[in-house]
Amino acid sequence: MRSLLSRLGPRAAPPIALVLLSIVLVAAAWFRFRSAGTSACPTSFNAEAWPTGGFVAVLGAFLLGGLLGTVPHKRGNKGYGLLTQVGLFAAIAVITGAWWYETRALASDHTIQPITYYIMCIRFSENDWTLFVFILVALLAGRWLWHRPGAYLQ
Amino acid sequence: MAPAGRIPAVSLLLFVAVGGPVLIFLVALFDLWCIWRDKMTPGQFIEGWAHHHPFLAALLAGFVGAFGAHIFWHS
Repeated sequence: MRSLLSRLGPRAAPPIALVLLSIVLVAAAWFRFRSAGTSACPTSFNAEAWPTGGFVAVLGAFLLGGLLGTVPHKRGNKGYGLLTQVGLFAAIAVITGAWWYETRALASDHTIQPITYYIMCIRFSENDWTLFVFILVALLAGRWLWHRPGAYLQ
Repeated sequence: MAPAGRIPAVSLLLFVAVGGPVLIFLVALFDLWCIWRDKMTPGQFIEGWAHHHPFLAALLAGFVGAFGAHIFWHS
């Protein structure tokens, strides 16, 4: 175990924490929504005039993710693996599929509900839990897309 | 509420609820694998891409922001 941790090094701490945290979140979501229906979902939502605390928190997480790039960190020495390229291709394919479904649902005049409807329904039911997941994703997106080049450890 | 195709709506609700944390799990697990193999992570790949394509990265970041606003700018 000690040799495993020493090979991974301290830079593995954030992904290890994320793995453990996401396992808890998946289990919590499974038990909370495995028998839940959409009958309790609100039919409409009221837009606020000013940014809500939840939106500000998501935006703040995005900016914080970008700023984390300035913290010195280590890069891998062997370049990108084929699996990384395949994984990114699969991720873009999933996003494209979700976008296609969302467009199809919006054009179907409510015979099919869009993915955002389910997300808002989940948020209506479990606001804190949903906000936490969005903050984690915004943190990752900010770290990746709002790239702040920092120093690299040798 | 009408079901979506052959998939019951309840399953879709569960699928969406579990889907977000599962994506985070897969990304973090893959990061660990890359660190183990001493290869660059997908995040570092995207960082490099965003650095070379700032306009496209800004568009994607704007989409993330708009998505967050769409979900949370309501009561």
